[in-house]
Amino acid sequence: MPQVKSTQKKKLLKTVLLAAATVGIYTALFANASTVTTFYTKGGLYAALPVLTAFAFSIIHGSFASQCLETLGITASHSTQKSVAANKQKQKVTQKDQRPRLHAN
Amino acid sequence: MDLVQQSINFIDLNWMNVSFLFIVGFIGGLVSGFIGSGGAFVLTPGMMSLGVPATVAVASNMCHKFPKALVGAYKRFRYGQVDLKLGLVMAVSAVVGVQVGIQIQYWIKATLGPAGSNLYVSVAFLAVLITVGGYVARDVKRLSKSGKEAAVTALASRLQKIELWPMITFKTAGVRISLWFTIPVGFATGMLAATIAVGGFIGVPGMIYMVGASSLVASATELVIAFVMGFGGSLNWGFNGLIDIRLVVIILAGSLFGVQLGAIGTTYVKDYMIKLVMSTIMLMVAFSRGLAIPAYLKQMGLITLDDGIIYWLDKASFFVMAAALTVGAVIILGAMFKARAAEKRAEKESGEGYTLMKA
Repeated sequence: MPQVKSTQKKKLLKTVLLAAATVGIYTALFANASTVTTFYTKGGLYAALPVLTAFAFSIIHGSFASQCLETLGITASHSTQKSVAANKQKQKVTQKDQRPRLHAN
Repeated sequence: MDLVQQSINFIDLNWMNVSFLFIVGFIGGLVSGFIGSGGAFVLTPGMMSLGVPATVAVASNMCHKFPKALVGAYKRFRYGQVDLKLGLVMAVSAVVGVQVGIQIQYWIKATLGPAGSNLYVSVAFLAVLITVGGYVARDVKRLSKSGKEAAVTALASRLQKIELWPMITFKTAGVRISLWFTIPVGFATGMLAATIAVGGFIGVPGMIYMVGASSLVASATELVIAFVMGFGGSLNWGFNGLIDIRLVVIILAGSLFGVQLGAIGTTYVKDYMIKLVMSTIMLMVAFSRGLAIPAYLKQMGLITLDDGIIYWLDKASFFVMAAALTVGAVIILGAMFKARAAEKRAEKESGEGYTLMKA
């Protein structure tokens, strides 16, 4: 039981940290909206700016969304989670180092 | 000069605009995460209804599409549903299809004008969505009557047996087929994406009925194709300075939740549910586009119709289109939460405890 509580606490902490990061990036963008718009619409090589920004938001906000759903208990079905775990285990077993070893007697 | 002017006429954002974009982004993301495509056909006209110029709406939608597809594809990849090889192979022909689709659009606009171009897009909507949506709907009816899981179609089985070099094995899809049979599906996906902004309405059924992948794998793999097309398209639009990043991140705020929720939903439902949602949305959107056609016929001088009727047909068209997405979202959430409740009940009755694993 204490283990479950500690796992829940860790999840909540992770959610809060990611929420803070998400709020941070949104605030940063909208607080500087006119500067951002000026640079992001220059065209040419500046095309990298909106594309990289979209990537950054997808990583940070995407992680927050994922963590938020997990904290709320909205996760994949148990059968899917079991097969994902089984596949991971299978990969660990098949990746075991099979190289011959020299043993000193 | 017109493009430059449009690029600096970005709309002022208020709480209503932001809420609208967030909600539509969420619902669009939910549908995309579940069936592999969708959302774009409401987001672009939705943004335009807020006063966003058409090119900025298309550019901003494209720039939100690829990160959404990336997150959705990653989530479904972790569930073992994405065939990365199939997605990348089809993405190559899809990119070619997009370029051909764009050239056709330019030619039609130059020949028939903007009304003619809108008419072409609407007719394409109708032709594809009624044909493919109707076929998928009949398949859903047959599956729900038989109660069996979907099997590989006769067409896909026949195509898989044809040994035409190079033969490619797609492990996750469980398919071995000639590259030549994946090319038309990918190409058509790209062409449709360039024409009506949603390539998945051909891509997903194409992968199911021609290549022989399951609905789960086809809808998940479509997200890989959407990522590649969206990324390339975004660079193109960004090069022209037409992306409104504010709209992009607001839509992403909702869609990144929605797409992951949709992906989670696929783990709870039977294969045919994906086909049910897809066919429902496709047929409703076809109806919506049908309502918009009289306006374009009038603009081209082919029919006469009262302006009042045109106005109401336009409103009805948008309403039905928004309803299509909403109905899809309701079906997805309903099926998902019903299955979750049944799972919890079954575990309670069997007395099994379950340790939650990260998924």
